[in-house]
Amino acid sequence: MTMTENFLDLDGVESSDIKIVFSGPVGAGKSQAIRTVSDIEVVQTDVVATDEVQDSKETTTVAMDYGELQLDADTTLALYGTPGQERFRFMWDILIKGALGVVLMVDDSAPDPLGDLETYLQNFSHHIAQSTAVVGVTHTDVAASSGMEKYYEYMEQKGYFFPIYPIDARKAEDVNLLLQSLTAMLEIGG
Amino acid sequence: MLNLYVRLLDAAERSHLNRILYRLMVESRGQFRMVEASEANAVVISPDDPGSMRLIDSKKIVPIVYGPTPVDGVEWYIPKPGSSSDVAQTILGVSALFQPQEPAANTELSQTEAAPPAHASTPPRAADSETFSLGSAESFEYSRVVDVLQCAREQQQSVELTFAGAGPVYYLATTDDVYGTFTEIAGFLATREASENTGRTYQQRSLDDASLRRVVNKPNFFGYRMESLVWHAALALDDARIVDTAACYRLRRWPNFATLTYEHWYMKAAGILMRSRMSAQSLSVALDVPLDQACRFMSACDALGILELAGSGEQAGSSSAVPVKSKKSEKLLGKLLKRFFAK
Ligand SMILES: Nc1nc2c(ncn2[C@@H]2O[C@H](COP(=O)(O)OP(=O)(O)OP(=O)(O)O)[C@@H](O)[C@H]2O)c(=O)[nH]1
Ligand SMILES: [Mg+2]
Repeated sequence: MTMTENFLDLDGVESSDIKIVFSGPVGAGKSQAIRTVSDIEVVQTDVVATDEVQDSKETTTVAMDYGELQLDADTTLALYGTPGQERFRFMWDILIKGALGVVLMVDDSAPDPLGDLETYLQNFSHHIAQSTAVVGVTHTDVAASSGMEKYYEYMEQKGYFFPIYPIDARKAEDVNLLLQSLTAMLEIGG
Repeated sequence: MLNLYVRLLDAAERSHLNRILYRLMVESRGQFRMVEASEANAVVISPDDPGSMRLIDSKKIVPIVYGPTPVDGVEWYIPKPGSSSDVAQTILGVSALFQPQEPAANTELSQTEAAPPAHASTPPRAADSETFSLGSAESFEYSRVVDVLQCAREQQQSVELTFAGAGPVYYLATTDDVYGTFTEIAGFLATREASENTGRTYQQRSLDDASLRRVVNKPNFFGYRMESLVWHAALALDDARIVDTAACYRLRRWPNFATLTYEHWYMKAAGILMRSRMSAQSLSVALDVPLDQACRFMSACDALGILELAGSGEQAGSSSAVPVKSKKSEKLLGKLLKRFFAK
């Protein structure tokens, strides 16, 4: 993991940062979403995928993505993207500490997107309870089974009250919708 | 045809019951005609007994209770405002009470096939290419057309609606789209005054999807998501569906603002109503928006079928019980708002 070590400066990940964390499984579009809206050139730790991820995509994030949105002259909102692969799970907790909220992304064209959603909602349940979350369902344009119905049903059944939208991480207005909703949730107390 | 003369208690109740009776009329496919009259002799709602209503025709007297639940000894009841999920059931039930012995004697009914009788367990389904109108005196309002479209949607039935002097508009069930010219769609979106359009009649024709697909393939036609249409209509129209401003509601699902137009406060309203039940009154106070706006937002959610009644009557202090205050600093929130919601 020399690659990771080179990039990873954990001291730089301040839990006191004003930040939003993008999380979700491999290929959901976390890196893309941050790239789409960031004001700065995104710091990425993507490497050429060599393992189980290889079939599905060319590169994968191994430590984190980092982007920024300038809120005003002296306030920067940091956007962190977690690595999707399970073996980098240890990064999740590091990144999420102190985050304003979590943007969960799932890939609708993946084999079990509902299972993915469940996994992440549970993983972050503790943090989400203290902050808030929004869910973006990506790749609906290429997924075989169309429709958001199953997600709405799932959220309703499980009693999750977070915003959930079909989005395309390549579109700024879609990523903005997630950030707007997250802000609105923060306004009403998460 | 049965004439239902309606006298209703107040404007708010009229708005609600009009919708129900109107849909009854639509779904009974012209067997009913609704006439509003002050000297009510066919539908009687006694001011002394506001809970009861009687549908009377020359042969039959049917007590109907207007209330939250069915009551022993009455054939059917009309749900209170807000319990929209019961509306379709009510219509089926009431339709079944008035099963026609013969095809409806509507002079404007030009049928190529006899109407199948209304049935309690299956919604009345019009045969292909069957044309009928909803009574000559029926005034045209876009809100009502949206109701007709809602009925077609619930029955998953593709229809053609033809207006006197305008239209047609098509509803395509498989894709859940409405097709029409810009003029008509704009009308549905209530960008025009409803009063401009009163006095028009229209006809409804059921079509199979294949032939409908062929007819909507016109250059000046465009499709519009049914979901967006009912959303817009409910937000723009004066007669909100949610008329009991003290009744508590909650949202079952998050509105899809990826396709529905929204304002900043809709997101907060959705967040509050997803998390806890609240009345239009309390919502209006909590978010500092005018009451009619809160009602319209709730009505629009209701039109999407994602709002549900969560107990009637206001809980003591329920608006203050719901924390709508952020845990984050005002200053930071202000910055986030400026960044994400600035035009
Ligand atoms: N067709 C389509 N492609 C999308 C959509 N959203 C994102 N993508 C693309 O999907 C690919 C994968 O996105 P990434 O951002 O690399 O995924 P990731 O979540 O960072 O994945 P890991 O870093 O491996 O965990 C990119 O090429 C994106 O441009 C979408 O809605 N539709
Ligand atoms: Mg990535």
